[in-house]
Amino acid sequence: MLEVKNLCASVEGKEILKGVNLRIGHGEIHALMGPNGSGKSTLSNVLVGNPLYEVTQGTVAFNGKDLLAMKAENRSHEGLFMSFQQPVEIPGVSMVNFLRAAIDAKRKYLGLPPVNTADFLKEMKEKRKMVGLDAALARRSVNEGFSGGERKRNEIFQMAMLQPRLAILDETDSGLDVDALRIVAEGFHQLRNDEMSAIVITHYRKMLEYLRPDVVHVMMDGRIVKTGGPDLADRIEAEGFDWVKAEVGASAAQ
Amino acid sequence: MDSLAQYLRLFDQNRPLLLDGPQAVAAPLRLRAYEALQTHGLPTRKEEKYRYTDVQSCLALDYGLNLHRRPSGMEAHDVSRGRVAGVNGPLVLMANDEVLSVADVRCPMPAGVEVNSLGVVAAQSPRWLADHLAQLAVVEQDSMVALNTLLAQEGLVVRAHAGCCPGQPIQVVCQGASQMDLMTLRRLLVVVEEDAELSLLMVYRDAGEYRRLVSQVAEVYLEKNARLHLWLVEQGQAATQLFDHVVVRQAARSRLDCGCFSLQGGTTRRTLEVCQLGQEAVTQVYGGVIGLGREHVDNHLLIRHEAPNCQSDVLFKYVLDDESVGAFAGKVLVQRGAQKIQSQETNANLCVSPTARMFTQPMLEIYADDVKCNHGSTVGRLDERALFYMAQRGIPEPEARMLLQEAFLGEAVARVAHEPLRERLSYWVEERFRYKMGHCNGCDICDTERLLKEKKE
Ligand SMILES: Nc1ncnc2c1ncn2[C@@H]1O[C@H](COP(=O)(O)OP(=O)(O)OP(=O)(O)O)[C@@H](O)[C@H]1O
Ligand SMILES: [Mg+2]
Repeated sequence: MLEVKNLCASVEGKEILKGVNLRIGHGEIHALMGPNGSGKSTLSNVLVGNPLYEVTQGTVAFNGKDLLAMKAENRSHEGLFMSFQQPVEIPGVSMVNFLRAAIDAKRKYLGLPPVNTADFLKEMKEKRKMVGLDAALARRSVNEGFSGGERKRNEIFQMAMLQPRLAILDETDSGLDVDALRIVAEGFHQLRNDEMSAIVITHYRKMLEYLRPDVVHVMMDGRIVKTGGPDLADRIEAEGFDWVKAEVGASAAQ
Repeated sequence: MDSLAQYLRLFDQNRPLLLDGPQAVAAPLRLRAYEALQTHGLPTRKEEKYRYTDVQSCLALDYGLNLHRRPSGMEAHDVSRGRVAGVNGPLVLMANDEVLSVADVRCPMPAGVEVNSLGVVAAQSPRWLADHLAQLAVVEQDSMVALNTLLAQEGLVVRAHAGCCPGQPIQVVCQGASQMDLMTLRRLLVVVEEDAELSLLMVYRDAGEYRRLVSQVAEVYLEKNARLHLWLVEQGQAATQLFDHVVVRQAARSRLDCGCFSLQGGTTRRTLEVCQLGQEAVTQVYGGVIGLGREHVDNHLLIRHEAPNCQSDVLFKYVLDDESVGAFAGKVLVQRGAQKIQSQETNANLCVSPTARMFTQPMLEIYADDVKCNHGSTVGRLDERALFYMAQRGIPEPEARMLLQEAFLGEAVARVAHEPLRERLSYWVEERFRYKMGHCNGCDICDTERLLKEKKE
């Protein structure tokens, strides 16, 4: 469903992604690990069309369509969702109005009439319960005054409302307490149907224990340098990235 | 100076009309105004107070005046279409400076509240009128006040008798209407007596193809323990010029809650001076401004704390798009002896296009030592990170911008205590931003334009 080929991107003239290749099939969960600053968030942002990042080379096909040619909102309508590493506050814009605008825009894109208010509110309530988001939070402005953990929960809530086909979770586990992590993971599995794929960016094995990825990638210096099964995450948790670095260095020297 | 000479000449040519008969009560005031204008001239941009609005060029247009008081042709029924839907209560309808109707049988004026045209009050209570008219808005201090005093013939007088407490707001719809470019000069006098409470909503509307300048001078008396909600809502058009001069005097323990919303217009200059003369007076002023196209909105505030233990709170928010220009100058003055004052003044602005401009000048001048005063202003742009966050969720940029702009003004709208009005304002703010997006269909702003066109044809 997603095919990234030789993707290069820069920010403020500095090259960050240096040829990323990645292929994700329907219903697959891929973990993306790697040291700080290796480009994981950059890759996510480029995929969802953040205008701060400039694509200099490469292609991305999403369900057969040219993703890079689409506006950010259309990528969203096509089913791409990113849970932000640092979700922003939008003072004065209520969660209800925000989500309604998002859902109606998507429905318009799909040629559907605006959502019925009663159905929409019912859905909000259900999904909110699923991810354990407090009713009081859902009545507030988007992320305004939310704690770090509450923001992450709110990201998953939005994911539940928008039902994406590919969800990118950028360190959604950071800031969540143990219970919240479990609830979010359970919510994720409830939402997950055979259609939804995910890229899970994390530094911790705990998240992966819950989400059970099919594939684990390691990113370093703007490239995916190693791909393996779930056991790769265990070894990283135990030994860090030095051994990956050494392997990559050795193969580059050959 | 040309336009000044022209107005002085107009006065000279119409002396009997403006000084005798029903206008006699204003005669001494007019003569003082005449003198003040001769001495000071019209304001120039060199004058600190009028730095941001070019009065001379506003007045340079060749406006006609209706000194002979020909009816505008607008009927009460037409003007009533401009009322704020959902806000129930007695309705006062004006076309230019002419009072068309004061309440009706369906919704009569509540006991204790008297609303009349200036002419009626001049005939019935000349002494009372002379005690109040032109006492707060002093001709020597402001040439726009002088010009208004020189030529204004009509207006509205609202008096809430001691202790009265009507529940619903009184809504005054002022519609501009003429078959030529017209200058309207009118007065507003509001007296809220001891322990009385009043809510007054003024809606300034203008539409159609002619250019109109409105100069309104409002004098507002809040006697001991009086409470007033005063809302000024402007829905004009690109060719409208509004000079709204409001002076308020507050006695001890009185409360003023004043909201100013410039939703649509051409050039707007509002001067708002509040003088707290008695202890424990409370003043809350807030405003929201939408600038689109080449709109120009200048709010000039002065809050004078003359007595101890008083409070003031000022919040003005502007969203400026296209080539619009906004100005805000707000001075809080704490006089010697006015101890234990608590004052807060905020002016926050969004310039959402690179060509919009904002001038902001919050000022504090304090001559007492035991006070708590804060003031600040900001000029910012739309938050790019928020826009992208919304785009990621599928919200297209125009819609996202609209949500952010609405949210920004929402803080000022939220201060309106009367819920139906608050809801209507939110709706209009949204309509206004949607209009910008080209989505407006059938809101009542356009509706009036259509009506006026039909009437003409
Ligand atoms: N908007 C930006 N402006 C400037 N530099 C940026 C920007 N975004 C990312 N970078 C730089 O690009 C590099 C990769 O950053 P990125 O956020 O993608 O790393 P990451 O792998 O997500 O790291 P972490 O694990 O710490 O989240 C870093 O050197 C970072 O400083
Ligand atoms: Mg990151």
